[in-house]
Amino acid sequence: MSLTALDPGKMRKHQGRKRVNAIALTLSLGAMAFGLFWLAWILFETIRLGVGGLALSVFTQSTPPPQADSGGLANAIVGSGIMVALATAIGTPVGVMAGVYLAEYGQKTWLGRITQFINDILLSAPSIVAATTFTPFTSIA
Amino acid sequence: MTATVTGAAYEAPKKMSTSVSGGVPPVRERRTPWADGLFSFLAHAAAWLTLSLLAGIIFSLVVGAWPAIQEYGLSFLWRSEWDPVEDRYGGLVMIYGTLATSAIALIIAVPVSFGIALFLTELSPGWLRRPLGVAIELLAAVPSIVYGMWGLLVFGPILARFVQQPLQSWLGDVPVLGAFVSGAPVGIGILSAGIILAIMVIPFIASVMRDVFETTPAMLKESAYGLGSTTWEVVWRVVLPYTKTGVIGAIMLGLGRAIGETMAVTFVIGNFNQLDSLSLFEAANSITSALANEFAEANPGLHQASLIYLGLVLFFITFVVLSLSKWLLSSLRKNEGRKT
Repeated sequence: MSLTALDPGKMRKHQGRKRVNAIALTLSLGAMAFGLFWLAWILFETIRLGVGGLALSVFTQSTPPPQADSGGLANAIVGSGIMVALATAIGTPVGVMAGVYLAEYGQKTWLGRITQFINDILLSAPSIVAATTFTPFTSIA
Repeated sequence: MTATVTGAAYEAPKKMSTSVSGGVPPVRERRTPWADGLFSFLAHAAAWLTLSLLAGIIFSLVVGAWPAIQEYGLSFLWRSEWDPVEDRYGGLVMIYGTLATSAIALIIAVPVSFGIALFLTELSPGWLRRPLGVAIELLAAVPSIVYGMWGLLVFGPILARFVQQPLQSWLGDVPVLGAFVSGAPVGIGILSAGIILAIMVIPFIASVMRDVFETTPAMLKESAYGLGSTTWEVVWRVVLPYTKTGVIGAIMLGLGRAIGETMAVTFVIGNFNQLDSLSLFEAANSITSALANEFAEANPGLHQASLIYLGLVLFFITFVVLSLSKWLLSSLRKNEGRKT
């Protein structure tokens, strides 16, 4: 049943297909390695460059004034926490209710379709655009 | 309006089931008759709120950009001059930077993500699938500012030393190609930003691709294997055609990310507002990075208005990209089943 007993042209084609397959699968393996390589490199460098600054005071003290010896990032960490909590508190109810609307009330209506589309746009809208949006009004205020 | 109709239609069978045959139907006790209506109102209000959010964003961008729109009109898009001292502005440099970095990012990220998705769905041994998938998704969990610092401190110098300098000594005298690699070897510029953007969007594209590849029915794949297809042929001729809408969606998601990414790009693009060479290694600027750098110090007036105009352009670009992908998806869906 060996293929060589068959037409040599078919044999060549078979070999060619196998070769293409081998190349493609090798490239796929390479892509996976490529992705993991960056992850490992970034994590390694972040830890290597950051571990020197790690101390208990980072979590317990506020950012020092210039020229001070000690200090930490407690204010920044707490600030991030408060910001995330506020954003979740405001965003979750609206998001859940809009989702309920899309699933239960507005699946076929024009408002439902537009809301779906606009949600996609708002999702991919650059965050910096949202930031510039409020500036004209804060400066007026 | 619709809510009251659906509410009434929903009540009817319940009333019937509680009625006793022959007697007076007992009145079903409803403690909170207003709750259903309130819930419907809240759901509708949330939907309207997202609508008005978008309208509000567009409105306030236009209001903020109005002085610049009045001054330059559409010529803002192809004026390359950006001079806060002389108070003259044009957006071409930033628009070019945004588009060029996103294009580089997609050129790198799409094939790599496809390879990763192929590996995770077809090649990887079962016990490695989950850990490797999580590792790729972990790339998305790295904050963008970490990418930026890593790009500036670690990756940029390496790129300049081991890629740009050899390329310069090799291609430096070639007329056209030489222009693409010219510039001081400092490691910041369009190419660094594009590569870092590619690394940032790979996890998004790859994980969506993997998810849609997994939706291919096993029967289709096994039929192809049974006919003697190689793994590559199964993926290229069966899995990819079956999942093409999802794959396009994944690529558009990645493109949206790349266009809007701010912090990592700001670190490595160089923030140089002139477009005097085609070099991939020359410092340039992108819309997001110009906004991040200059907004805080821009005086209210033409400078700030021009920056907001740039934001409006960026918003418009994402809008167009998304509309294009929606249109592409719906036209693909319409043709489904008609031809291969």
